[in-house]
Amino acid sequence: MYRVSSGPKDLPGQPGPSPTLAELTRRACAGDHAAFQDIHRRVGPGLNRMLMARSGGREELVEEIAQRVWTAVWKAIAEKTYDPSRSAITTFAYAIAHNAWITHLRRFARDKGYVQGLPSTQGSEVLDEHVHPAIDSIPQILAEAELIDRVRICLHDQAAAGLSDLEREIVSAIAAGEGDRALARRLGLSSSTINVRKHAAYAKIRAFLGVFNGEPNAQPPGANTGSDRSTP
Amino acid sequence: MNDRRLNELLRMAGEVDDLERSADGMSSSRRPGLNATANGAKSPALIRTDRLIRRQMFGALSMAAALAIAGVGFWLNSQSNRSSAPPVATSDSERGVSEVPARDYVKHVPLSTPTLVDAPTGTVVRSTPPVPVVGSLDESVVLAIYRNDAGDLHCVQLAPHTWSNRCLPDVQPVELRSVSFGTPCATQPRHTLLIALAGPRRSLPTSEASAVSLAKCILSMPRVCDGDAACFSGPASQCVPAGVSVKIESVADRSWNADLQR
Repeated sequence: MYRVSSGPKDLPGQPGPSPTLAELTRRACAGDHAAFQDIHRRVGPGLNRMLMARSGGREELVEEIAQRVWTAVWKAIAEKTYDPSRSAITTFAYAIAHNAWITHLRRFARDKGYVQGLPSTQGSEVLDEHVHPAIDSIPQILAEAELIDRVRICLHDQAAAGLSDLEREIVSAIAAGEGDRALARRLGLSSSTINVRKHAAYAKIRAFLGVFNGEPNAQPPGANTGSDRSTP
Repeated sequence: MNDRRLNELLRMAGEVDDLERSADGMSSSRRPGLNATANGAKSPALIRTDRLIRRQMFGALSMAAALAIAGVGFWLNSQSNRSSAPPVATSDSERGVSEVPARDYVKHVPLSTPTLVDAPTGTVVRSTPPVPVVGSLDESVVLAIYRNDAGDLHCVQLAPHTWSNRCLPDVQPVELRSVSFGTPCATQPRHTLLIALAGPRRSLPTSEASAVSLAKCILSMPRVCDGDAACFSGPASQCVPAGVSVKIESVADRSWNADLQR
């Protein structure tokens, strides 16, 4: 249901500008339920829209997954398995939702017989099983969220990965879902040029990510390693 | 890490950026994410998005101003008509429902009859005309908006519907699809929107003109997508008066024909 709202609401008893998500995360990790509710109020609608777009508007499924995602986020915060210094709370919630959605798709394909050789399941355990792995594998999801945040640094911090303006434009367009041909048309370049620059950018990003992953051959591409992130 | 994995990570990073932007939109503070401190540099994609948002906001404001002017004009017109020639109800079913000339592309389904309450004996009757009292404050209607191949309004149908005293959030999408409109006004619609509205009767569309006006408003509002019901939730909530609940279901042509046969 959609109700006409009178505009953004602030937390009761907190006049003035709303706190940042990083600040709310810090308070939520300290056990502040109201801060967690505010995080949910601000991030939840976007997460629902993303899931709605992926599911083709299946509200019941979206509500069910979203509810369990936020339960998992709260559980990770309460049990201290979520480390705010490794990933922003938005990225962490996104990674859990993405994981739950991918697992749902795999389960759906298995039940429909699209994937051969896997046993079919029936009833409520389908939904339970497709979300529970997301809850149980928080460390892996946190690692994925950390990786996504580092890629975001590459996208937004030009010095981090040492990308040129054109390379940054190309990877930003790829992140926004733009195809190679459309990008070539828009920039007035040939597809082969785009392809070459894209792979050069990928090599720099790999090198940047390799520094974090402790790969022996990785070279630091820039002086800024993104340690000045405001959002953890 | 191969190219495919890196592509996936880039797309995920883009989605998280969108998520963070929408989260920041709920707050009056500056964006708390990576973009706020990354050397102050904005990516070209972000600059494009900002421009797009500014254009959409300008369009929405222009649309709202135009609708407000049109609404005032319509209200003034209806007031002048009412003062010059008060409508005469020919039957009970027509009392309380404004008389609007039917349009060719509108197929109207009569709405529920308002209950008339007789004045008790001995009551002093003033010079004001009797006012029909509606049985309940909250009523519900379902509006079907049929769209043509270009996505424009083809025709609308309006029908009253009670959800067994349930609130709209409790109504399942399949129930919304099963509302009977009789004969559809379009034989092969490309895309149909079913919109359940609940609220005070005076706030709901009760005539063809108001239904068409609401449908045009919803379809003309700027939106980021065109496929599912979620794409129209924002426009719909901006087009209905305050206090009216909305639930939307989007029906593609294939399933729509099957639903209509019920």
